[in-house]
Amino acid sequence: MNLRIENLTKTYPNGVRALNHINLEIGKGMFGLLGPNGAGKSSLMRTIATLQEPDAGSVYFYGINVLENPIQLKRVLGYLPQDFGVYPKVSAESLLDTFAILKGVSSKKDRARVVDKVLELTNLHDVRKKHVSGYSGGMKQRFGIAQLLLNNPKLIIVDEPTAGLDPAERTRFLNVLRDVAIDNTVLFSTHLVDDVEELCNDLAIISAGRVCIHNTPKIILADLRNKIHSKNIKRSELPDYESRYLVLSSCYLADNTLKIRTYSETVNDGFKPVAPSLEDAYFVALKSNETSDLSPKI
Amino acid sequence: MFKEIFIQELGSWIKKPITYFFGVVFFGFALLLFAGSAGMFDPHYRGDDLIEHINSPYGINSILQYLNKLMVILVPAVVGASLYKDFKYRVHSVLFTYPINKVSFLLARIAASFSTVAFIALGVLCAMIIAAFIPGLDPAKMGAFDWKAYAHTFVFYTLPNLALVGAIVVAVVLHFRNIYSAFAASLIPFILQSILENAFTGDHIIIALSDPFGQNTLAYFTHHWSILERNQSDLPVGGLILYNRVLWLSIAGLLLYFSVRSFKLHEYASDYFLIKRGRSKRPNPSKPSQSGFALSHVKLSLGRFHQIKALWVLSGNEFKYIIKNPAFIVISALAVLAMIFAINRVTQSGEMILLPLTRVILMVPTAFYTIICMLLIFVLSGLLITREKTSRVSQMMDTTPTPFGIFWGSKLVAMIQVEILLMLVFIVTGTAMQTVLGYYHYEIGLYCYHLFFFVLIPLAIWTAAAFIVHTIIDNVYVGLFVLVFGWVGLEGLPQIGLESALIRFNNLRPVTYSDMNGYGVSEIGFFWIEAYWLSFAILLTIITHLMWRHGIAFSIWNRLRKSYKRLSMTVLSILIVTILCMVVTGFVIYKGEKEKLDFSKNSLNDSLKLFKEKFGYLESTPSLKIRSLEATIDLYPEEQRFEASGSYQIENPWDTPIHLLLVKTGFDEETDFELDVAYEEIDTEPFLKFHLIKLKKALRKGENITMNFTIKSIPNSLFQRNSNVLENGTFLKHDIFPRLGYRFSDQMSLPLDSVSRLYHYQGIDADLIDLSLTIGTAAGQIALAPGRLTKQWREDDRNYYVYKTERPVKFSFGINSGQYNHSADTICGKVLEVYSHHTSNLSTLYSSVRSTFTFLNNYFEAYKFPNLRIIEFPDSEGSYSTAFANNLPMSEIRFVSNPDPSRKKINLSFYVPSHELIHHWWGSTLIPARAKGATMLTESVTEYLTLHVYESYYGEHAAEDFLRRQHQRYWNGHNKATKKESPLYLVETSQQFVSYGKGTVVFNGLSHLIGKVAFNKILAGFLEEYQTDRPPYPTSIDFIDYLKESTADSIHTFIENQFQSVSYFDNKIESTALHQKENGSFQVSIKIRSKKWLLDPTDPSRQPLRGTLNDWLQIGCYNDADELVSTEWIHLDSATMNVSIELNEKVKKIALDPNLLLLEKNREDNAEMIETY
Repeated sequence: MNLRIENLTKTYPNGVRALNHINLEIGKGMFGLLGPNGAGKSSLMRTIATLQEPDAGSVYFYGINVLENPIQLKRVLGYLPQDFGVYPKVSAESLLDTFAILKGVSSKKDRARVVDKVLELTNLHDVRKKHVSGYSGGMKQRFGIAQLLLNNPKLIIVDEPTAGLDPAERTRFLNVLRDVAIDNTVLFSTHLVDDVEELCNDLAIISAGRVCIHNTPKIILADLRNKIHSKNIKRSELPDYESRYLVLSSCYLADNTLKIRTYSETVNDGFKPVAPSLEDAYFVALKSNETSDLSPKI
Repeated sequence: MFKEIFIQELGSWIKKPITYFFGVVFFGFALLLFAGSAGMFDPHYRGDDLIEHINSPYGINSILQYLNKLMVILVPAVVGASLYKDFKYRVHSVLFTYPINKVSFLLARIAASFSTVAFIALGVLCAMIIAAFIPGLDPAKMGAFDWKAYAHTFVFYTLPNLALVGAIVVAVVLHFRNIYSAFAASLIPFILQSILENAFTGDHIIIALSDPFGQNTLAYFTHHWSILERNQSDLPVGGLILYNRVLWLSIAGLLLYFSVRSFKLHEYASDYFLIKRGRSKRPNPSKPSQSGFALSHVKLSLGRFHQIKALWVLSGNEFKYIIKNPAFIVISALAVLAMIFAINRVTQSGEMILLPLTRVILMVPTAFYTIICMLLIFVLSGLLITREKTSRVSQMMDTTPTPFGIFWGSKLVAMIQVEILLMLVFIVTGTAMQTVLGYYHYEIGLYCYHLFFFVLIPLAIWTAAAFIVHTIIDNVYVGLFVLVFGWVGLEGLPQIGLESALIRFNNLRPVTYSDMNGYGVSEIGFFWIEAYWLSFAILLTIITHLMWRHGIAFSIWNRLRKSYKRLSMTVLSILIVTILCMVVTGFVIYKGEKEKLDFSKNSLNDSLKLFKEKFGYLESTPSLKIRSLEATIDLYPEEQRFEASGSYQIENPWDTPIHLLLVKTGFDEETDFELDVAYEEIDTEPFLKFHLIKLKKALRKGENITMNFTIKSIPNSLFQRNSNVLENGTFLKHDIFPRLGYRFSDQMSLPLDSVSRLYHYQGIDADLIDLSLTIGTAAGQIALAPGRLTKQWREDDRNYYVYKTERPVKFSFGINSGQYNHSADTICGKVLEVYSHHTSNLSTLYSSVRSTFTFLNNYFEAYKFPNLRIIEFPDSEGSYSTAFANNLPMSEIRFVSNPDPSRKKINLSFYVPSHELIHHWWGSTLIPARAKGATMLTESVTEYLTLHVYESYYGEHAAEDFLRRQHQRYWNGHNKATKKESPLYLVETSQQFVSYGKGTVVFNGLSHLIGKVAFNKILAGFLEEYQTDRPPYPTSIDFIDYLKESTADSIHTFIENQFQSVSYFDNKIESTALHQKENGSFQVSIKIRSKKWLLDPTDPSRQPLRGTLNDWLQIGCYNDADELVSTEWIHLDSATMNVSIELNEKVKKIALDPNLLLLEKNREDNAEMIETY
């Protein structure tokens, strides 16, 4: 495996245990990291990206001991944080030039070429002279991708990059990522299950600093086959159902009834079996993390 | 809404620890400052002098105004922060969508944060009040407690000044949404104050009206206050002070109004000021992304070369970022403007103006400019260090493979680039000013050398300090606060006894530069200290490297652990080398400081006390007198040393036989001496270098002995120049030779004391002597001494000169050596030679000597020497001039006056040689006795005669300016005097404001009263009668008696009032009226109110008393063209007088004392336009 994470643990000074003995092995392609807010996704990504140190554990990438040799990893790393800004009054071209030199592109000619290329790839070439601070959200995210591509990275870490993007921008953005992931490892965190479903060949769901599930989407879905059921109920009935079943999700329908999805091995009480989705797997994982007695086996 | 936001904001400030941090620091600082100023840490004063009270309204104002300036930093840190926090934490985009009222919202925030600042300021005030009651203060420095005095400054100065800065900060934060710009902008009032002071030099009303802090406004009313008045008077309130306060509060109000009005509750700031914003055009959403990631192979390099390149490229980006910053542009532009006006003042508009020499340009504005640069560095360093964090790019930056050292390195390099830019701006401004002023001798090398070593490196050291502070302290407000207080605190270290250069961080004050001698040897010591602090700066930079924020650290332990990890072998090696450098340079400095003699007041007092205990019994013993000196002096300018040998002929002129001889040898020299008779040394005082010699056989009257001596200069040490031999421009004085007698008498005797006439005012061990000096100096240098050059030769590649005086001279002489330009001319039958480095003022010097000879030849016998030499010596040796027989050594500064075509400025290149030349008559021909009042016969007469020489060359108006400055000189000295003021005839040597200032006024007044020619003839008569080369010497009493004998009785009251008492006037015109008589003539009726004040000469702490009027006052009448057409003397004998003057022509204005003949404190009410009836 390309990226090996062993026993990674981190507790913040305020007592929050962000990473709790995380073990992961990640290969080439898109790796989706799913989890609710505060699950530890960003902490894990920042730790892999060498931005912060864990209390314990280790990270290896193609044999590089990341925590011991951060610079070696940074040579092949492309990182896009969840929340980033840009210098005001600096054009995309100029800012990318700065990033290029920081990433080790020494020759001015090379820098011009590579900046040009990433601008084309991210479709920002026409607006390269404009100040990045004036870009729209989507363009800014693409700029983020542009900067991470500058050093032709082998490991790409993107932290919740699609949040706030419109569907068209989101598609554009994910397309670029998918292209990049063909020969490289892309670690991609999100709390949008759809993103992962569409893109990832491998995924992990983490919650409260622990890995709940790590598998390919296919296997995860196969494991849930015949275990997800659905039923339309009245709003007032929900507490009763919740006490009796493992309700994964509920959503209102046009007639103000609720459509609930449950996880169970057997069919009963008017439930109809439905095809599982990754979202079901996500909720099953979260619930199982919350209530150990249910302990669904996936 | 206002109330809710105000309470919420005030509450947030009350909860913040930073509020208490600011409050406690300011409280403590004010407490210490007040207690320290009130003498808590010093021995209490036990003398009779008048001491200024610290807690008088004036004293409180002085301290609080200083603290007000420091408190300016609170305004951006609190008011600025209060407005900026929404932008900083990006709350504004949400907050501004709420239904808030913009004006209420902003005003509530501003009011709450300003109240916080005002509370801290109130704490400062409380600290000053509490400090006044601390036990242990010096009672001499404390007057009665008066709470109103504190409240006055707080209300009239502290709050309005903070409000003004507050308005500026509000304007900047609301417009730029940037806190650093607000910090930089709070410097604006300081620079403005400097610009206005320099731009309107001489125009006191405009300066008073326009001072943003109101300091010059108050000074307008109080500058003439004596210490007594400062201790007892309340501060003025109305008039200009009110206008000034209202003006600046209105400006603050308008600024606030427009800032609030133009502010919009928008996501982004408005675009209306200076800088066009890049975001103005939003790019169009682009086409769908191209598919296929095919980034071709990129060559990545992270070697040393690439890192240097990256550092350079990044520093270039940072540099561009700073120089595009509007705050930087505005502050730099204002600093340049301040510099231009400062140069203009020194070269054009000041009282005494100089040529725009490079060294003048470098001297004058550098200190202010450097402080502005330093404060900019404090702010800009913070701006750069937090730039990534503020822009939220740090995470992306920190995951690049570039080592973090490149990040701080690039910022440090950028700051140094900015500093270099500021130095270049200085050079360009300086040379541009020189060009504009018609001075084309550009010394770019000097600019670069001075600015690099004396300004840039100290600034770079400050930069290292700013970097470490901003790196360690995450809070930019606290960081800036620490830096500013650190700087202020360092200035105060000597006050708590820490004076070593090893402790006083970066205390690198530029060494005086002389065009003749460069920086001299003093720069060596400077460079050692600079090297020491530069090593320290490197040490700080290493710590900055270890503590640099890279990645995310959640606790200080985390940071420290990271720092420890960064301590690689390379870093450790550099650290060890740096510490070694500090130890080595520190040791050299320590050794240099140890070698330095302690010249502190306490140490000198101890030595003097010891001397008096040992030798006090010799005070009244008559001293032997030196009759002749023959010496050979070998100067070695390139080695800055000399050797001399010679002999004295010493005589006992007294009736009593003398067997004890007190010899004092040169302080900075090693001297061996021996007598040609049997003697023994029975006691010594090694610090002051006194030797008590007992002759085996007492010397009887008329008997002579010979003293032979050899003298060697002591080598210079690192911080002390012991030898006055310079590479170019040596100026040795008579004090290198041994002197005789008890030389530390506490007081000069009174003129009536019979002993006083036995010695002349400049010597107890010689009357006039024959002088023969042989001087050897380096090839290429000319050596000069008083007398006639009798022989000159060259031997062993050295020049030798023999000078002999043709007639006896005072034991006051100098030996000069240097590479001079020589010029000569014959003036009134005498040869004038000028030996100088500068040649631009030569014609003025010649004119001065010509005018002096011409004027004095009318009254006095001719100059006695065949020649006169004017000799230039470097500024490092002093800025004075003096007369040594036929030589007039003058400081370099007197050779570089800027000739003023309007003749409104005092041309010192004319005035000084004239003054010194007149001493040939008054000082060297008429030699006063060693008694009080001696300098009346030398300086007062000389200054009075110089006034007439000045008038003969420059005309009446220039002479009036000259006289006006003498009035100013008197009042300045009078107001600052802590000791009792002597009447003119008893003036002491240290009371120059009396001998020069009052002396000129009084002599000139008398000359107007009895006629100039008649008075000058009296002077000539006195000189003729009392000139002597041996005792008894004349005293001031002789002169007063001679004056009275030569003048009518009606004049005697003037003489008694002006010469023999300390008095001044307050005359005022109450009303005037003009009436045309039937015969066509005019009659002016004037009502005058007069007061005469007398100072008690025995008790300086008493208020002046009303004197009985029995004085002469001149009244002047002016025509329509404001020309003085008639003057009339009246005799004042009552407080209110009605005077009538008959005139042949109609006049428009009446003025009391139009020729400035009387000393008067307030002349503003002396003139009035006439009411016609």
